[in-house]
Amino acid sequence: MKRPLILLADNYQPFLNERRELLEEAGYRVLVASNPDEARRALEAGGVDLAVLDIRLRNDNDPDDRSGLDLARSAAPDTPKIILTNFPTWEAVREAFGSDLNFNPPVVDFISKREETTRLLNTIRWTLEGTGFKHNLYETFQVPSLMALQARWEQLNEDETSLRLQKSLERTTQELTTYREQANQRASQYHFWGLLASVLAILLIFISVVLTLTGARDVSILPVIAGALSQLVGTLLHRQEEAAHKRVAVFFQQLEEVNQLTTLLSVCDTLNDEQVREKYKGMVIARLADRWFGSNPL
Amino acid sequence: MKTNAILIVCDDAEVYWHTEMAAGLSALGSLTYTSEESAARNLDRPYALIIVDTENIDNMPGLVRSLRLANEKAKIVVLSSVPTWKAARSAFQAGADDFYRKRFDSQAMLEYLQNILNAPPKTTNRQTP
Repeated sequence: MKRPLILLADNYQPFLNERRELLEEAGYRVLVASNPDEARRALEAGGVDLAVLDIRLRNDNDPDDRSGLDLARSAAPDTPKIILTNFPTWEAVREAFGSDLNFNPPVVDFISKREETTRLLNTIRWTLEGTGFKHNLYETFQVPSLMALQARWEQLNEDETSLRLQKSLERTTQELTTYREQANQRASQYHFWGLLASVLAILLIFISVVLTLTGARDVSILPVIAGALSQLVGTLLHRQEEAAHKRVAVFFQQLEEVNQLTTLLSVCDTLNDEQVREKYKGMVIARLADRWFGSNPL
Repeated sequence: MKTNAILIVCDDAEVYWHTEMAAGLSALGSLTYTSEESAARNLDRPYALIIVDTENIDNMPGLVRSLRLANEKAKIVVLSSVPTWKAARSAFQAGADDFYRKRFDSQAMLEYLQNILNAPPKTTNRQTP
């Protein structure tokens, strides 16, 4: 499975570097843009799964600079966008989520740079990586959206909601396990080929030394060049291996969360008293609802 | 002809702002006033416009969410005399159509609400988390 590509647009280079590192650590591919033109080109070229946009993309000291909001409104309407700003105002939130009732920008969240980075990571995860889980939830509950999902939960009793939730979680667990295994296999392959390239490099350099010692100095440079190239390939493969391992770690973390939820619901099932069982299932469901539909949905 | 049902959720309908607005608003439709606690009991009819005055409202996002679920087609406007960006974000993410400053120029406020009523329905963020 290809890692999602995130466009990160901010005109302040140190912040851009810091956030790029954060997102790469979280397992995403990151494309950076330091001005609105670069960001627009990247969005319009396609392939970006989500964009994180600063509001003042031209000049941080200019309160009239709303280039990030303009971009969210006008470029790649189907790409989800997160506004990340140092200057949050209620007017900007209103513009981002759409004060003009004819206009529907796909802004999924509005975040202050002073807020914890977990909010940004959670929103990204729910928007992108949650896709599989979201899809499973929608399918199991036969609803088209999160709003409808919450309404459906209110119609169903705790046992039925819990049963369907467990089905979605089981399906998601299977998917995540497959993704994790695939990422693991890829990491092993990269490891094998990287190691082979490194051994080959050492061998070629050794041949070069032997050739030099035996007096064949004219040709001894060729194995050195080949060895260096081989070492370069080895390094690149090791980097790929590292990225695949990060991916495995991300899937592992997601699996753990899904498993925790499944366990919680299963524990509720073991309660004999129907009223107590429903009460605790209701609490788990309410906690999830709060997390998914709350004022801070994540 | 009054065709629009308008629900106003507020802490106190007798305060100056609401009494000032009432005359103008009643020209836009039939008015029902309710409190945060009893809002759920007043959702038995389809409202064209729901105004939430955040003054002394404890759980605005929760209130907006239940209003939205009960009234998929209603225009929900959240008004605050002290608007903050976090309240605005919560309102939109709970399903509000707009978040606006409560203004004391009742004419301007009525024009704004009339525009909201006339605007085509939107689906902003209702399909997204």
